[in-house]
Amino acid sequence: MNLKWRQKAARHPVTKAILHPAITLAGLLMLLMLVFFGTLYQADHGLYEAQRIFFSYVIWVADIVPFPGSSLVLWVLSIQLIVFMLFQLPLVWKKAGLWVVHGGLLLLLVGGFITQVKAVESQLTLAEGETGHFTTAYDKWEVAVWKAHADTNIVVSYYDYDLTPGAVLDLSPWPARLTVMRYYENAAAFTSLVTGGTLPYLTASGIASIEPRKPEKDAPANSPGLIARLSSGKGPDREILLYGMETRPLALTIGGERMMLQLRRRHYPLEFSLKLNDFVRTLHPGTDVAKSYESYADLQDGLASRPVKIWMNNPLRYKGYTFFQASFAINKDGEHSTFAVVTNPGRLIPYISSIMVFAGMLLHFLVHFYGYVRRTARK
Amino acid sequence: MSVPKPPPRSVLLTTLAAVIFSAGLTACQKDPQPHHYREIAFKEKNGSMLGEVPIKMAWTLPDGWVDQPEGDPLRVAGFLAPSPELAHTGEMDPQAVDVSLVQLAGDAGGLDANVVRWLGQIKIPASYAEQAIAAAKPIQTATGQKGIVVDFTDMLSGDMTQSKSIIGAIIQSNGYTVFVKAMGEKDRLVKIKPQLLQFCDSLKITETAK
Amino acid sequence: MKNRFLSSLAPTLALMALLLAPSRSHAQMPLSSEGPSTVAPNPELGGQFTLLPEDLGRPSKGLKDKELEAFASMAVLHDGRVKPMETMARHMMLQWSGHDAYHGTPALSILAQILFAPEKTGDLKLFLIDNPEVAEALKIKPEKSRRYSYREIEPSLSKLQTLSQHADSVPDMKRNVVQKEILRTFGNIAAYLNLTRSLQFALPSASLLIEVPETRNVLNLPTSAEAGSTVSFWELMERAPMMAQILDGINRDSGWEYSPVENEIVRLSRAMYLQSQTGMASSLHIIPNPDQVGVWMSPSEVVATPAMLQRLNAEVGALAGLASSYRNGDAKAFQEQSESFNAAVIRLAPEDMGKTLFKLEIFKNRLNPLFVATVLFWISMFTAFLFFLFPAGRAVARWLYRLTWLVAGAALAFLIASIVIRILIMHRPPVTSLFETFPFVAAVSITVALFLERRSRQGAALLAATLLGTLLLSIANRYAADGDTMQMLVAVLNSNFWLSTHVICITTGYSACVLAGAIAHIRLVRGAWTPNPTGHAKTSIREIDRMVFGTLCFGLLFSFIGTVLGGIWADQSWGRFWGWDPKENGALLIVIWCAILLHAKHWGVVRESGLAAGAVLGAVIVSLAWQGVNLLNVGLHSYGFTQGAVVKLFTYIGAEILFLLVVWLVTEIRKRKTVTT
Repeated sequence: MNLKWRQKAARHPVTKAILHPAITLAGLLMLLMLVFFGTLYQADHGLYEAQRIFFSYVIWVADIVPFPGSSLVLWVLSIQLIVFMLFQLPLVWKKAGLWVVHGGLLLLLVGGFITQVKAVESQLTLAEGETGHFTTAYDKWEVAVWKAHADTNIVVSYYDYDLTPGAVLDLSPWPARLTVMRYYENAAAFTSLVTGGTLPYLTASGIASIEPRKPEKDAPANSPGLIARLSSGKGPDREILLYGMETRPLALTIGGERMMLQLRRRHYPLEFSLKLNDFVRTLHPGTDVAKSYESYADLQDGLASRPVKIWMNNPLRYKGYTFFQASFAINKDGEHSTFAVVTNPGRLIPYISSIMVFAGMLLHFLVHFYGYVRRTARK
Repeated sequence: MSVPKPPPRSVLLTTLAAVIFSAGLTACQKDPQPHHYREIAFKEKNGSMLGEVPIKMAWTLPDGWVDQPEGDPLRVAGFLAPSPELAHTGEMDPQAVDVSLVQLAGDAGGLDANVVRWLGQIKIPASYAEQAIAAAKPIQTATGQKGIVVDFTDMLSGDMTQSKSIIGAIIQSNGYTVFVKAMGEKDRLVKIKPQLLQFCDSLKITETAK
Repeated sequence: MKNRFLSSLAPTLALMALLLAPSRSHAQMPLSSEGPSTVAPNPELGGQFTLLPEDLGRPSKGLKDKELEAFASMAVLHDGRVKPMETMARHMMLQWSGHDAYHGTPALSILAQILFAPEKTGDLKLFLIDNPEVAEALKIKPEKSRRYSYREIEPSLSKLQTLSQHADSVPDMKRNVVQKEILRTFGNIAAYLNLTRSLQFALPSASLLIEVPETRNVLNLPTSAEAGSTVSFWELMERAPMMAQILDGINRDSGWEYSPVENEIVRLSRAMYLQSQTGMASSLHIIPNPDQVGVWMSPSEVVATPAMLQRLNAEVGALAGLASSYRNGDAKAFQEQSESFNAAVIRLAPEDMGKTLFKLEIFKNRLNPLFVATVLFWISMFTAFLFFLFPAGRAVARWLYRLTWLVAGAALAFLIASIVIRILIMHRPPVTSLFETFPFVAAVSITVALFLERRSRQGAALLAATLLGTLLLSIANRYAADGDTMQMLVAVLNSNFWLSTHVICITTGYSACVLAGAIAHIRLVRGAWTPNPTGHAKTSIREIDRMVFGTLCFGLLFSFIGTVLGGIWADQSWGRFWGWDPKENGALLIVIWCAILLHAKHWGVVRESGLAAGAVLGAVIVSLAWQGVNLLNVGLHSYGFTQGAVVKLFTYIGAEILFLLVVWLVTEIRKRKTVTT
């Protein structure tokens, strides 16, 4: 069954241009080279940097020669795939396997895109007996402004990608604005050499200045710095300095209220809380190779609470969150368990698409194998 | 299937369209997006809550002292105490003494530890702590809490480039400790010491219901 | 592996420092109770100090190889696994000298000597020092065999210690070849010395010298004529109550003068105490802890803990008995005592021992099916080549063909047997370490190749099978030389279901692509030989082309599934489906390349010979994904590192590219020639 409109569209020069085999082959070859060189680059420069460079739209080789980045190549191949399935792939039973394969492939690309855009990875470290109500990002930052209200803090925050020079951050409901003067993704901080002199900016830790540094190979090791102007309706403007490695927030009075400001790794509040009761590590006997790590916790949601066990290769899945036993620390403060926490709406897509591609390939090969056997049997 | 012919002109048009489209996507500037949420007030590593404190304080500000609360979140209040002669002249005293009022939960590490900490800030060896505490004078706030005043102005610092000193009051009561610390040039400190004692006497500390 | 021993370098260095004290039979042991001194060797003693015990007048008679059967199946906890003594012996020999036997003497006999009669092992050339620079640095006269005895190395022991400390302070990745060799040598020597002291309590001891003949009567010890001038710790231990009585008497006696016997007994008891406390942690974990499952202790550990010693007195005594039977040459007593000791161990650790299959493991050690398979594949490869030399149809050719099938089939059987035995012994699926991928890939690709050969009967697939068997298993045997190939898994990999499915699929994908590459080589040579084929030649080449195409499709299918399953495993364990880990990327490269080839073929951009060339390149990509990623030393997949592998990998890639160029040139030249003629 090949519809008339399909046949017409397939013959159109634009369609032919889009579906030109040279584009597919070139695209796939470029992907091959990107993956290969990206892997080599990663060994020296770290995953974060490698992803940033190789996943962009254009890579500037030696700063002069442009080369397509993975995003561009994948967009082009995705468009080709869609057009191919829309107009060219024959709607016959013999090609059913190919339909399933390419459909699954398209789904995989879509899933990858969703993950890229919407997945959030963070971590949660708890000491035995401690309860966690939010998770913390690894290498993404926010400038958070909050006011204490009984046991809870009411927070307004802006993520690091919004902190461009000149950006105006509205701190409503509080009557103030923060204008970004300088923001560095990675910076070194310096205290004043002169004791007792006045500091140029308001800070919580007595830092006098910050200077930009090249981003670390291991992105979570970055420490950003922010210099901004705080203006409120009443009183003069104040210039503040916030630095990523500070342990205390900056306390200011805004509109008569005592507020805290901090440049910190993003907090992602949980709709529930997790209380770590016990962490257990067992070693292979007679060695120092770890056999298993296990955390025993209580999952508290509202008034309900149930005990859970999280251990290697056995995460906890609840309300779209997945908690993985990632690592641990045992020091003089006791035993701590660290969980990797992931929310990813596109999590199940690779499973579905993989099944589709596998089934499609199998189907296609079986159809052809069957045909081959019939042909050789006839001879 | 034969090898395909070279692509026609339409390829250029399509590619151009694609490039413009993607350029448009990336060039879009968006306004900064605020994120609003609530979270449980979390404890700091040293255990003090950065939320509400269980005591309320009031005081009478001595003549000439100026409010300066900003910066360190552990400060309840901070002041600049100028030399009494310059009090009402409108002149800014560049060597005004910095006075901070801090409240911490519990015994905040203990009397000795805090005296040692202050000594360290002006580079005096910790071994002098005992001597300093022995020479301390007792004080009492307006609401009856008792404390001591330590005065380091007659002690020599180990660092010859260091000319600052500290006079401080430590008021310990059950469940909390209040520190009043005046830090500045030695001669200034001596001049404002009476005002400092006046300030401590005027402190009204009331415990709020939990 | 080596690294685990090296991580205990600090305590080992401490052991060395502690042991570098004179211990000759006629040097007086200091009577202070401060512990052994760390005095440097006394040059006045002629610089002949040694860390090895001496026989002190009670030479060992030893036992013959076949008299050590029961000892072979004595259980020992080593590298996290309970294994028979024989496996550990082979492993140690491999680590030290690169061979698993010593000039025909089995490793087990050498180990027995080291444990029971260490004084005799000083001149055995056990230690391989491959790098001549290291031998020079240690001022050892270089030998052609590059293997040295302990006594040759002993004079430079402190130098070796200093050099190792220096090398250890350099981070792992920055160490050069010489530093790695020094650390390896030091580790091996330390392991050796550790073993020589493991049964110290049962061997004649220089510090337990008996000078007063009457002591022997009092303590009911054999005369010096029978037993030399010293006793073993254990012999005294057996007489401890008697000694305690005498000591008690001394305590109550308020006199100043002690009799010579009393003096000696005081001295002996002090020396005994010292010895029991300085028996350092030994690597010979053969006594299970009755209170803790999975924890095994060394004899010196038990001796140093009075509570344990009381409970396990019989077992420790049995070991001492083993030592004396060995030294007395009493095979029957040795056998009986071994068997009773082994039975005691089973009683003490039923859980651990229940999981073991010692008989099977010892059988596998001795038979070495993997090695047999390798040899058979070499033979079959030669017969396959010979087969191609003769024109098809001749009787010789037919016989060679059958012979090749037979030998290759037998080799495959041994290979599969080795994989199955491994699964049974380790209780885990077949592919869990880099080493294990080789036998598995070989097994799958050769099985498929033989299946293809049965259908086509051309000999091409058969030749490919023999080539693959020879190449892959030779590499596997090189890996095996690294030591014990049956290691425990890190926690991250300890998940049987996803582990088995993902890894098996990926290695099956590797197998298919590797097979396609192998057959493609043959096809390209055929194509160069007859560039314009007609008639029968044409059909046979077409058939080979179909084989290449089919196996490539098969390879794409399994590589894709394996890659996806890897993503699912990663999602289950670490929270992300794809993390751009080098090994994940390697698998992706294979999938992309196969897709490129098949689409290019579909569009006519390449024809049959082009596809074959592509398959050869596919094999190159497989080798990069399989081996190359481990050389990047990054990410979660870096658990297999072989020195010198970079050179070998690049040589292989270079060879393949050269092959393609040569074939292409020859094909073009011959095409022109056949056209013009």
